[in-house]
Amino acid sequence: MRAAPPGTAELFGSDLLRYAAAAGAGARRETFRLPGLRLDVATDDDGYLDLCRNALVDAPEQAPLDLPTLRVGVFDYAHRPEMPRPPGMPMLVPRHYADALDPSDRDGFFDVDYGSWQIFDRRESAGIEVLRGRGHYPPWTASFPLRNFVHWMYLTLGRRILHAGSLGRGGHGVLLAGAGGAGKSGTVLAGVLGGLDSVGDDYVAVEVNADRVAAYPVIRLMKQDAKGLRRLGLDPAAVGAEEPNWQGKYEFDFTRLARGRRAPALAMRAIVMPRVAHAARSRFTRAPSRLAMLALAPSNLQQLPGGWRDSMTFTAGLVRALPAYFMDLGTDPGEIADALDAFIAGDMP
Amino acid sequence: MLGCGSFEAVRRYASRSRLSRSDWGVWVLSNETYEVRSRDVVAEDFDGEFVVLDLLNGKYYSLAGGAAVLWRALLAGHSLHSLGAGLPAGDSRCADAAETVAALVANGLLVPRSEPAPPAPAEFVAEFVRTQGPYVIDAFDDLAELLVADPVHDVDPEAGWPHRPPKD
Repeated sequence: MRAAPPGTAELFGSDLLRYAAAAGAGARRETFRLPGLRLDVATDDDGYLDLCRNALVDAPEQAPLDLPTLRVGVFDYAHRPEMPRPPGMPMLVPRHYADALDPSDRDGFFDVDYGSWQIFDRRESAGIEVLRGRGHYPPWTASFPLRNFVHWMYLTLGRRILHAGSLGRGGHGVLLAGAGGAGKSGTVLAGVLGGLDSVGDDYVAVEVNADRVAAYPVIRLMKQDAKGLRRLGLDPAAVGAEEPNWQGKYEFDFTRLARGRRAPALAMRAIVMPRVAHAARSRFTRAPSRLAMLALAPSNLQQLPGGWRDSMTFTAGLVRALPAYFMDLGTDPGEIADALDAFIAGDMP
Repeated sequence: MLGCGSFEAVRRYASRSRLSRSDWGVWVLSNETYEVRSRDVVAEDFDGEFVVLDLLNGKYYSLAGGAAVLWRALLAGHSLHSLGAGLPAGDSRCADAAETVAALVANGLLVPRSEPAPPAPAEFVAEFVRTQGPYVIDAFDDLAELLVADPVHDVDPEAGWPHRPPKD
C-alpha cells in the first residue's frame, strides 16, 4: 500500500473546514437551541434540515444568544463536486484517525460504508459533514442528526452526551441504563404513560458537578417496536409514527402522548438498570457500581467516537456520584410507573 | 528458583515434575512487580472493583473479588510474594492469584517492572489473606471493531485508504 505523506489526514480536514467556512453563506441555514448550546446548521438539503427539525430539541429558554454556537455544514459531492476530495491515505481505523487529528484540536470520523466524512475543529466550534450524495447517510442519522458533532462540542463544554434513558418527577429523576433488550425503552415509555417526566429515552446531555448530576434533553424522539407499543396499549398511529425505522421500531415525540412532559432538566438521584423479570411487582435492589459502569460505558464508547479516554473517566465519575440499582420489572406498566415514581420521590432501599 | 520464579517457569517445572496445582501454587508467588502496560490501559475503581479498558485493542475487563484485590495491590507496587506471606503453605489461593496475574499479563494489561517490591503494608496483606475469591476476570471484546478492527476489507493498493479497489 502506498505510504501517505505526513499529516495527510490533518491537511484533508483543514481543506474541508476551510471549504465549509466559505460555503455556509450560500446554503440554507437554521439554528437549533440545545441545552447550553446553539447549533447552526448550513446545508443545501431541505431533507437534512427536516431530519434536524424532527429529531432535535429546540428549546429557546435553554439557549440564549450569548451561549456557545456550534456551526456545522452538511454538503455532498454530487451537488458540490468542487469540494476537496480525500487523498489516498494508509488505512486508518477510527481510533487512529481520531489520534491523527487530536494534536490539531480536531475530531473526525469516517463512515466507510457510506463514504461520509465528519471533521470538527474544537477551537473554532465548527465542523463539516461531507456525503457522497444527497440523502446518502446511515438510516440511524434520523434518530439523532449531527450526533457526533454535538458530542464533540459538548466535550469542549464539560458536558457529555450519554446513551441512557431517563425518568423524573418534580425536577428529580433517574438514569436508565442497560443493553438492548433489557427493557430500558419500555420502562421509559411505561413511566411517561404513567405521567412521569423524561429528558430522553435514548440520549441525554449530562453534566456532573461536585454535588449534582443534571441531565438535559437533546432529542425529541423515543423508539419502540410494534410489540412493545401494543404491550403498553398503544398503536403506531396513536403515537404519530407512520413507518418503522431501520430497526423495525417506531420513532415518535413522546410529548404527543400528552402524558409525561419533557422536563427542561432533571437532577439525577440514581442509575437504574431494568431487568425483564415478569415479577408480580417491580422490585429495586442495590447493584455494584462496577455493573452500572459496564451498562453505560461500552455503548457510549461505541456510539460516540473520539475522546474515549475522557469519556471513560467521565462515565466513571458519573457512576461514582450516583447509587446504582437493579429494577426487576413487573408486568403491569402502571405498576412500573408507580414504583419508579415512589423510588424517585425517595423510597430507595 | 522456587518461590521467586516467573509463573511460566514454575508452571513448566510443575508440569515436568507432575506436581499438583496446590503443590506448586505456593511456589509461584514471585517477587516480580507490575505496572499497567501504557496509557492505553484505563482502569476505573468502583468501591474496590475495577473496569479496565484497553484502548489498543478495544477489549475491556471487569475485575471483581480476588482479582480486584490483586489489581489494587499490584498497582500499589507489591509482589505476590510479599502479599502471600500470610497464607499457609498449599493454600489454593496461591495458584489462583498466580493464574490471575498471568492472565492480566497475557492480556497485555500488566507488564513486569524492574523496581523491587517494597514490603507490603499490613492492610494489603490482611486484605489478600481475607479474600476468599473468586478470582473473577470477565473479558469483553464488543468494542474491538470500533477501536482497532480494519473497517475497510479491501483497499486500493495504489490510492490507499479510504479508496476501495475497482470492482471487476
